[in-house]
Amino acid sequence: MKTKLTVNNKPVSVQFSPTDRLLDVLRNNGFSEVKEGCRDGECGACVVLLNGKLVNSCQVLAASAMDATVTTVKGLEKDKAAPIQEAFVDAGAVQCGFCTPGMVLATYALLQENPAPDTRQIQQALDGNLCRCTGYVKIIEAVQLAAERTNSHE
Amino acid sequence: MEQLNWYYPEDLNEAARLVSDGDKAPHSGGTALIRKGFRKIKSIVDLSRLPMHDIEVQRDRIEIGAMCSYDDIIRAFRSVDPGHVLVQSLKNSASTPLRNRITAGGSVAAFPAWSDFVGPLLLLDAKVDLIGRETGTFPLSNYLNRRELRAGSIITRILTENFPHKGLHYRETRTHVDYPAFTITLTAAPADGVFKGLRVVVVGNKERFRRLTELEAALNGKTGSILDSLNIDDFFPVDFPDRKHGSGEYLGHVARIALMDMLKMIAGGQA
Ligand SMILES: Cc1cc2nc3c(=O)[nH]c(=O)nc-3n(C[C@H](O)[C@H](O)[C@H](O)COP(=O)(O)OP(=O)(O)OC[C@H]3O[C@@H](n4cnc5c(N)ncnc54)[C@H](O)[C@@H]3O)c2cc1C
Ligand code: FES
Ligand code: FES
Repeated sequence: MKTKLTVNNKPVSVQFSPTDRLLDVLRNNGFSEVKEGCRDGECGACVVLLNGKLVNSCQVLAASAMDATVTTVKGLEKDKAAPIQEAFVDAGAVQCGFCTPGMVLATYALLQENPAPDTRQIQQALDGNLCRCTGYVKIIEAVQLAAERTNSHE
Repeated sequence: MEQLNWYYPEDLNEAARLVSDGDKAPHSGGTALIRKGFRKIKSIVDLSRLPMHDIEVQRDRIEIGAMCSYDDIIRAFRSVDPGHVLVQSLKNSASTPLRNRITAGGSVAAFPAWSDFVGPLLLLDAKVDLIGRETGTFPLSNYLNRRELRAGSIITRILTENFPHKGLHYRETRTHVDYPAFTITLTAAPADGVFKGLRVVVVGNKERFRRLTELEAALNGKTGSILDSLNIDDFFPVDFPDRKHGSGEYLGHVARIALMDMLKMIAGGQA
């Protein structure tokens, strides 16, 4: 099967078989920032924005994403992504970094909708992203820091 | 597997014609299809282009298009009734990215033991609109129990009652992000210390689901103090299978305790 996706604002022609997942199609076409963890929808390493919605790309059949718009962590608007990425580094929320693309995307999706989330709302928004290194406290601090910095710039 | 065909109908008649032979699998969110695998599937009918994305929440009824995601449903209630039993159940189900993907129609058709959606729907006396081999509106409980209603048909819409009742939804999980071993959902009309309009359903037991009608009859119209003398075992004819969360016997104990706590909350006006 074939389709033309728009990935990170650029047209990308892709070929895949009928049961391939979007995760594999993206990785096979060079978007290796989309990480493969569990393949079961449980870890969030593979999340992307599909037509603007945060989804697990391992839980999306590529054939159901015909002509779709996909945003990976590398395609986020720079001025909105940079404060999140810097906050993750400054808060010490990155260790091995495997979960980080997914965490940054989930944080981006949250702050787009709710620029000043409380701890409970952060926990809920990141409930689909597992991290085996940090213990989550610093990740939550990073999201709070990103929110503060984004709001103080606006 | 390479021969698997995808169809993308753009109107309901075309979709009904495609699925009615019963050998094509409808695709909505795809999360249960992926989990099950494609060994037995020759063709897939993608439902995303059909007009089944709308949701309407009225004072006395709710209409949910089959392609609405769990997140769409939560959002639809946000300004109207954020404490609605459907919001309580769905906001804790799966995870944020999955709630953006999992659909109403796919979730009713798949009806896994860990469903957070079917319990509240049963309490709201839900019906499903079907097209395909079967066309018409059918009670949800019939759809779940009768295989012939499911094969060769697509759910296009879920219709339920709505009422200003209090609701509670209990999920038996080991961590916050876990498939529930079972769920208990309960609704009741707000009334000072007296049970009124109480409805209770368990999902994930050996029979898949069980409405606790004997318990409802025993409590409705009574004050909360009846709970002091109530032997819950007499009104809980529910067996659970062994699961990773624990043995069936253990899950039965946990369910009874959870149910008593929920009833006390309703009686005490804490729901
Ligand atoms: C990691 C994970 C955790 C989860 N946790 C929970 C949880 O805690 N609580 C919860 O409630 N759910 C949970 N789910 C979701 C649940 O397990 C199912 O995957 C989901 O409900 C299926 O919905 P779908 O839209 O993806 O259906 P699909 O996979 O598209 O379809 C499911 C089945 O229904 C058929 N079908 C699809 N649409 C229709 C239709 N409109 N009419 C008739 N038949 C149709 C398909 O052919 C298929 O057989 C979880 C899923 C995952 C992956
Ligand atoms: S790889 Fe997709 S959720 Fe883990
Ligand atoms: S930093 Fe290693 S998994 Fe999160």
